[in-house]
Amino acid sequence: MQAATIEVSADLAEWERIRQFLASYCESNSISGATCKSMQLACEEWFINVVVHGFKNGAKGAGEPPYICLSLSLGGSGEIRAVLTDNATPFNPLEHETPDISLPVADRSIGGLGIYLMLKQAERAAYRQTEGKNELTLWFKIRQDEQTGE
Amino acid sequence: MDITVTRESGWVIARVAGRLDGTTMQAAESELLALIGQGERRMLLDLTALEYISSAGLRVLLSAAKKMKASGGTIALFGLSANVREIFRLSGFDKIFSIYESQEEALGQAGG
Repeated sequence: MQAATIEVSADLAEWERIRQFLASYCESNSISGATCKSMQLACEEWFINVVVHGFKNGAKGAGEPPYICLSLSLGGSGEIRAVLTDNATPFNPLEHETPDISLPVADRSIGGLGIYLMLKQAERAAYRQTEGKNELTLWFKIRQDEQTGE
Repeated sequence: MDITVTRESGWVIARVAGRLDGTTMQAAESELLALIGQGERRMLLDLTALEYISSAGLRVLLSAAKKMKASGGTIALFGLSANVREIFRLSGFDKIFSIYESQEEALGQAGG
């Protein structure tokens, strides 16, 4: 299985379906647990952000139903490409402000951490708006599982 | 996600097993905050069986840490897997929390 696509509705409960989709894609393509967890984390952060913030005011086009789609494919150089598409409010995560991760507990806010963690999981990322949709592409390097901790 | 609570040497130990993500965060948050609300002031989180954490899960831990700090209590963690530890490092949570290798080390060093 080289390429696979899943379309979900704008409901947080759909995360479980995405998670299983990712897990079965990784299993079919013999992708390591560490790589799979990175992809799960990135996709969860993307999905939750889209549902909670992106669709807060409904889909971008009036009368359009929400559209959320995730496509995976294997690249030639040991990479997986994930294309994450939605028709929520235009949002470029690559221009998102990086959170200050050095603040003490009382001053820490969790805001922005999800996008930051998402981008940290990927080798590289690209964003564009196309046909009124947000399209985020993330490339994940396929890593071998380490035998001994760090 | 499943939280099991035990007590030892004056500490409440909450073992968080499974996945701490966007779908389990509410249950986890209400359980941990309830323990602090009941007056627990020394809490150890056993993350040995925590398979996965996302920013939603980190939010739960931050919220528990804030409430514990406001109550004058202590919270410490142990048993982080390599991938959970990496998420902590990326997000700076390794600086926010006292993190120990094992329950023995935590009980010995987090103060009796």
